[in-house]
Amino acid sequence: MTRNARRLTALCALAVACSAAAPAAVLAAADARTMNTVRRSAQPFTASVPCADDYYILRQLTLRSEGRNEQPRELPDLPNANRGLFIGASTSLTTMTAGYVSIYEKARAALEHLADSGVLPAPWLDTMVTPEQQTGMFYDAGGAEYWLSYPYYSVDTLGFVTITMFTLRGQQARTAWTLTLDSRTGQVVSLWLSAEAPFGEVEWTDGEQAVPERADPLPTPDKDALLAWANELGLETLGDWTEPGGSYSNALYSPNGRALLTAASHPYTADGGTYWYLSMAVTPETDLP
Amino acid sequence: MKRMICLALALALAACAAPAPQSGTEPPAPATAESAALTVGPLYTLPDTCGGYWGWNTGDAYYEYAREGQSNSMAALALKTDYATGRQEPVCKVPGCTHDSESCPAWLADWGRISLMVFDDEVYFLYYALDPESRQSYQEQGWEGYLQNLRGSEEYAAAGDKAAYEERARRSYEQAISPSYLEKISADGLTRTRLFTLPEDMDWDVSFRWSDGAALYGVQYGSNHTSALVRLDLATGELTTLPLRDTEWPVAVSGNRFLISSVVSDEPLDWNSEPEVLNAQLQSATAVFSLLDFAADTREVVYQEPYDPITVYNGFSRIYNGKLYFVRVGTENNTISRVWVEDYDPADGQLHPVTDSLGSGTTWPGTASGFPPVRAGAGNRWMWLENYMTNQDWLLDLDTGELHEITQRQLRDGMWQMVSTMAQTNDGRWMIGYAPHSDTHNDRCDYGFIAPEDFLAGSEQYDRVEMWP
Repeated sequence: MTRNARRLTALCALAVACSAAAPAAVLAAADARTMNTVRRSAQPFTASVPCADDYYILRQLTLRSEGRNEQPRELPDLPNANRGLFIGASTSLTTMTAGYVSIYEKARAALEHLADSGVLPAPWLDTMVTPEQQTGMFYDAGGAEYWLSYPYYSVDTLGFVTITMFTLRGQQARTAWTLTLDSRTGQVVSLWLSAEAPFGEVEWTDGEQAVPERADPLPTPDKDALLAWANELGLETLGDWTEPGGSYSNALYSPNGRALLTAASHPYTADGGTYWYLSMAVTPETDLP
Repeated sequence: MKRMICLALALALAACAAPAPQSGTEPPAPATAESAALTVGPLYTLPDTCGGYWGWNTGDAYYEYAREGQSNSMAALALKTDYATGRQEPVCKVPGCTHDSESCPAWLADWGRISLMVFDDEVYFLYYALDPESRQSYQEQGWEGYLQNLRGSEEYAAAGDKAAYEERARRSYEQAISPSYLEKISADGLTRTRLFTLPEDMDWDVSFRWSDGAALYGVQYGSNHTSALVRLDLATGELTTLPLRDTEWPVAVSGNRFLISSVVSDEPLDWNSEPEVLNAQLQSATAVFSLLDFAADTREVVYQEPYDPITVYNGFSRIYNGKLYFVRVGTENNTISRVWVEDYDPADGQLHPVTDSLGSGTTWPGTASGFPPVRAGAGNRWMWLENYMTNQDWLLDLDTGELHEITQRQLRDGMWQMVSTMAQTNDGRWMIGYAPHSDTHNDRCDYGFIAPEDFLAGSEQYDRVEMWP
């Protein structure tokens, strides 16, 4: 071996020896060279702060929200700006598609699952109008007839399915219940149930502005139920569910995911009758901090 | 291998960089850097001068544009009614000018989509362009194509002077393809110059309704209950946009801030849902009125009450001296039975009735009714109310709460209507439009001055203005 070769070999050996002795230092230097930055983590194997983009269902909901809210041209681009084509789902009887027994069963199963998971109070599940209870038919202004024994459904281009059961109240076809779920995962992102007043008697005071006294035995899902729903949606790892305050009095909000879970129950009048509704939704929320 | 893993990890981490949440603070204003340095001065509501019926009162004079005599002409002339001299004259001061062509600075070839404004006694014309799609379609048609179309029309066939008709059409065509612009007539009345042109692609779905003298402020309509506040700087033509939150709508101004009406609920309102579902939600919703600081994008809630689906903005009419005025509607068996005025006073946090019921046929006034809005700080003390079923009109004095029935009438558009309250002068008179000026166009009134107390007592003894023919 020549003297240079010997020197090189020695240097090589030295380099190898150093590397073996202090691998972390060597690798960090390699990192710095490669990426021009060295990231130090106090807990090297913990994920960084989760965000909305990490969750499929939140990405879907954000795209749907942006697709529906076509922004004026002068507004700055929203993050995740939906540059695709979004076509929303219709929500009225005359433009939805008549369903069949398995559509009803899917919807029923979805709500039963939520009840079993502690999200939907069982008394509300009991208000769910079933095909057996539906004997009416609705005729629109043109005389077209609509069977009401099975729910109707509609879809949007993101794959959300809305399933609605209509019922006759007065001479009108009204929403008895409706839910929207993601077609790939079956996760329910919103539900609405309407129950007739006998389930909760309401006293109206002041004929002009109704201020009902609440006396219903239908419980509203509480914060524990909302947290259970967050778990059902796979969003528990957002890790920062808190009460948002403001007008959202029965809600949980995750700033990391910019996701809002709400449950609201109120009386309302329609078609000369009084009803109670339960409305639950997970929505992307950009106006909260 | 390790290098690739490191790189992949770095990319994954970078892609998920979420900003650290700040609790308890307002979301950062997404507007441009200008908004941080913006000062919004005392705001006032602009009169709606497009079309020439209403004009602009400075306290010393009334400015407007009047449509030209011939019924098929779109031309108009800017006029000034001087309260001191009692005369109405063109704003143009060019010696020997006949005020009927483009050489006259006060003459408009086509008044369509033009608003007249006055700042520091100088007259401005703001032209609102057509939307970009319409403009593009006119451009694609071209002047030749437009002219061909025109020559086949009945109106063209009936026109006497075809050359003049085509000349007017050419000007209308040029206006139709033009972007928005602002022009000013010089203080000496001799020239009119273009100050700036707005971006070609700007979609003019904006309605400018307020000003602080340095800028115009308007609302840009979005879809689905979102909107934005837009500021147009009068000196530079610079536009600043402040997106508003869902259901927020500016309804009035107070001091340096905008009064915003919004609807909130204990859950986000779903405007895409089936009408019954939305209806049910709204029955438990709350109408909120808050004051918005444009530059800081902060809000201060002034008042809230249960949302009323029957009225618009819960019947909000105006804010005056800090109080919010509402026109309330009472129903019996789903029919309107009573209409009355009520105010909310933040000083005592209470609602107070201002009038008794004025009858079920009472329409509620716009925020500017009574007199076209006066300059900043003066507010709008007089509220006009009308019962179209009993044909009664009133002026409500918001300073005293006194309701004055107004009996003076003019025959306009074949109907007897209340005379028009045009302006309050700085020297304490009222200028009233007591009769239509001509049979050709209904945009003008003959004016006369009268002391307020005489007018309220029913007098028709006006000091007549010498009107421009």
